[in-house]
Amino acid sequence: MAARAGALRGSRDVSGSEQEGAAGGRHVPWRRAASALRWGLAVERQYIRIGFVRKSQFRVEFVNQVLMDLCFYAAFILTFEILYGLGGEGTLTLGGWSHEEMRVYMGMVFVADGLFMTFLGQQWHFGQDLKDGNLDAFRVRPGSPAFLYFFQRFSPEGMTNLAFGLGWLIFALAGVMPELVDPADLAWALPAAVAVIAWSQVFLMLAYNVTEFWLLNSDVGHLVSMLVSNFGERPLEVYPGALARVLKFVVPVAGMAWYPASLVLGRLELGFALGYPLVLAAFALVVLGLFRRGMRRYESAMG
Amino acid sequence: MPFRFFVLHQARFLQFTLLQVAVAALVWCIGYAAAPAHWLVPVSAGAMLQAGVLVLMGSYCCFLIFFTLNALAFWLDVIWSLLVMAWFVIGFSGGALVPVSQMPPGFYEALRVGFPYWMITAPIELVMGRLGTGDFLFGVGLVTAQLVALDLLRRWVWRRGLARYVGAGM
Repeated sequence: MAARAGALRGSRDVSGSEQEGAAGGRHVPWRRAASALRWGLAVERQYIRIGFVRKSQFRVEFVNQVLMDLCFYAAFILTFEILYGLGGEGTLTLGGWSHEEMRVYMGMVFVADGLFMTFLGQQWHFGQDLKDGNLDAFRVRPGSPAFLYFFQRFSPEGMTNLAFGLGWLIFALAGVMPELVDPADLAWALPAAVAVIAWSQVFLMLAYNVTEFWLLNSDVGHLVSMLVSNFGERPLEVYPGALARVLKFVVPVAGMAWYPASLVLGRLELGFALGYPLVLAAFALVVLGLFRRGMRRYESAMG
Repeated sequence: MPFRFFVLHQARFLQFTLLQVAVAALVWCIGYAAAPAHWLVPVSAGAMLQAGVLVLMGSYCCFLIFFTLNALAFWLDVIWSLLVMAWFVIGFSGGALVPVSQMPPGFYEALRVGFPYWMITAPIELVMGRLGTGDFLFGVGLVTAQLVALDLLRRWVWRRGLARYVGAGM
């Protein structure tokens, strides 16, 4: 009953941790955070299980999707290999990125793509589900509707491609060590880079999709996603200054690959390297705020 | 339907192509009016016509490929990944990312026999004057042969698929 009362009061925590806190005479923020994390991981575990069950029914589709992404990676790799080959091995740079550095950059793009395909595939259906009023099942406590909705379609084929992407990244990093990257630095920089990629992908995806709340049935989320994400697949140095600043600070697609690759390769000044995650955090807060406002506009299929 | 299923899709392809040609012509005119010095101008009207023929023939090859891939839905549950894969392959082998003529010689020789090259890179080079009428005629012959082969494949796949089809409630 106490948990039910919490939900009715509008509390986000109805899992019982509030009751535990009250019993102990205090509310411990870290305990709440740990409880939320445990709950999120339990939900994600079920999504992963369902993802494997679903894909076991579409095995040809699994192979096709793995091949599809491998085609994307191959086209990407060949494009840059040919471009650098045109300039003569070891002489050409693109926006100040050498051939070896560009391979690391591509690895970050592949990891970003793999994470997106693995966890966030449901975003392609958001506009239609919003239009059809199909979000009712995700407006439950104590969960975040955004987490419950967007993470529901775990993709085993995306995970396979993520493994390929990580493999390429490791191959690329082996090519720049120890000349450009100190292995000791890589031990903290690589996990940090992957964390930034994951964070950026989640909140950029959310940003693209919140537009659907105000422009219902416009498919604008897909359009913006394709337009803006493509910018992130190239180093920001190749764009004019104003556009590069927009891509860093307004719609920070720089977090997808440019910042992580630059961080790992030691191309950033210390102040920027430390400060940029704050930009990404601020962007995330704005997007979450917009998502909450957007959800108030949502109309269920039941009226 | 008073006509074959394929005719419906052919008509849609025609409608889509006419619209695209009109939009492309409009964009070219706007670009030329805004920045004539920086805009690609065909070396001759003949070259433009040759390029247009190759683009349209190549587009029809694409249409046949995508119709055939869609017809695989008779056997497969989901085919969207095949469609996306086909776009990657056609785009790369046609030179949408890097012009085929700038690729290493081995790639160039291999991709030059496929219709995507004659649909993307070759028309651009015709318009720029890098290729001539002899190349155009060679390309037309090559793409025609592939177009016929793709149409035969499309018919074969469609008939085999139709033989498997069982309507809902039957």
